Amino acid sequence: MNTQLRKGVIELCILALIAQKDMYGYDIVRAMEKYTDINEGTVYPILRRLTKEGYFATYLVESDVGPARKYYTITDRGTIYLKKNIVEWEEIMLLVNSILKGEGNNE
Amino acid sequence: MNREEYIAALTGALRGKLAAGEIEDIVRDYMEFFEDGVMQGKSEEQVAVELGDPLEVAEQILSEEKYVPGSGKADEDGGFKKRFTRGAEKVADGAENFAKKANRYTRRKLDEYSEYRSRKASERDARRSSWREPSDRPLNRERNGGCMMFLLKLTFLIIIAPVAVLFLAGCFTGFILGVAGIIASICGFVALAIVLPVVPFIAVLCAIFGLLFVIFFCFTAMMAVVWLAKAVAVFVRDLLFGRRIDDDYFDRTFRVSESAGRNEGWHFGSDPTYTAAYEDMPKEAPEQKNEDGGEENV
Repeated sequence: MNTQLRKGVIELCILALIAQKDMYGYDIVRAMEKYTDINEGTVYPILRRLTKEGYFATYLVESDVGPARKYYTITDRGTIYLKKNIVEWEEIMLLVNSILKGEGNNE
Repeated sequence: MNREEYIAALTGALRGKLAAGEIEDIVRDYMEFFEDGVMQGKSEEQVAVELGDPLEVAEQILSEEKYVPGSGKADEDGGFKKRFTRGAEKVADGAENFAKKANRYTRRKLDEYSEYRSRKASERDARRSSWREPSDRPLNRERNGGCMMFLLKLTFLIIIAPVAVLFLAGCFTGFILGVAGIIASICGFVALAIVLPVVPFIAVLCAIFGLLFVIFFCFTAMMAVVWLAKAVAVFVRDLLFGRRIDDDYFDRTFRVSESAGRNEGWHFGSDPTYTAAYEDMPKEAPEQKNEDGGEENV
């Protein structure tokens, strides 16, 4: 698939997942893996960028069995951004679907 | 590749391009990922494979950093230039993808075709070598390349071809003349109607029927020419492309087929040996047969 498109879609998925509940890196990867075969290496760069842009905040949670985990939580800014992206996504879906069904040709 | 090697490769690729603190942060994230993977019962090597090539990961991290240089606002007001660049990248990506696909498709088709050609060639060689073998079987007159074939080709070249060309030319001339006649009669009729406004009704009817007759005959002649041209084309095709030309050829090819089933009726190329030979052609074979049959029904 087109890498740009894929990246955008993965970004939206990550936003939506973290909006549902706070998660750490491995958790996110596993949640995504349930639905699609993604390359784990691509998730972290996207997480980092979204954090840098202020859509996510992070906090460390010490754990007695495993490593200290960096949890990601969505910020207000991130919520707004997610809503905007969902609207855009639905618009694109509508456009693509109507073209794929051939409605564009019945003028 | 274990954890240490992976992390070393990653930091090596990032060093000098990002601030030390940033690299530390990234390494921390990937270490966490490794530990979580190991806790799930995977080996470090497995996790490394899942993460993908560290150089690629580094490249991606760098591209993401470049994507939004520092500020968090780039998405809202990224500026026309940035958006334009991104759009252009997308278009270029799409074009590249399309070109790759087209390339692959062409290559596959070419491969299929060359495979098909070589298979046919080997089949033909096998056929020929089996034919050349002297045997005590009775002479098989159905094979190409024999005396009869030579005579047919000679006849075609010396007699039939010029005659056919002349005949077709004659038909064509006749058709042109017919059209000219139609035009002339229309002109004449119009002239008559102008000069003598009181042309009797019956004369008008006669003229109309006359015109219809002329049109009908022209049409019939045209159909005949088309039919003959097709027959000649089919014959030439069979002659050139190694179809068996034997005593029953014309009966089989241009008359009502004797074979039962869906090949019944008026056909060119309804010879079962012919269609059988093309059945293993990748996928155009059925269409080719239908084309021959379908045109006939027109």
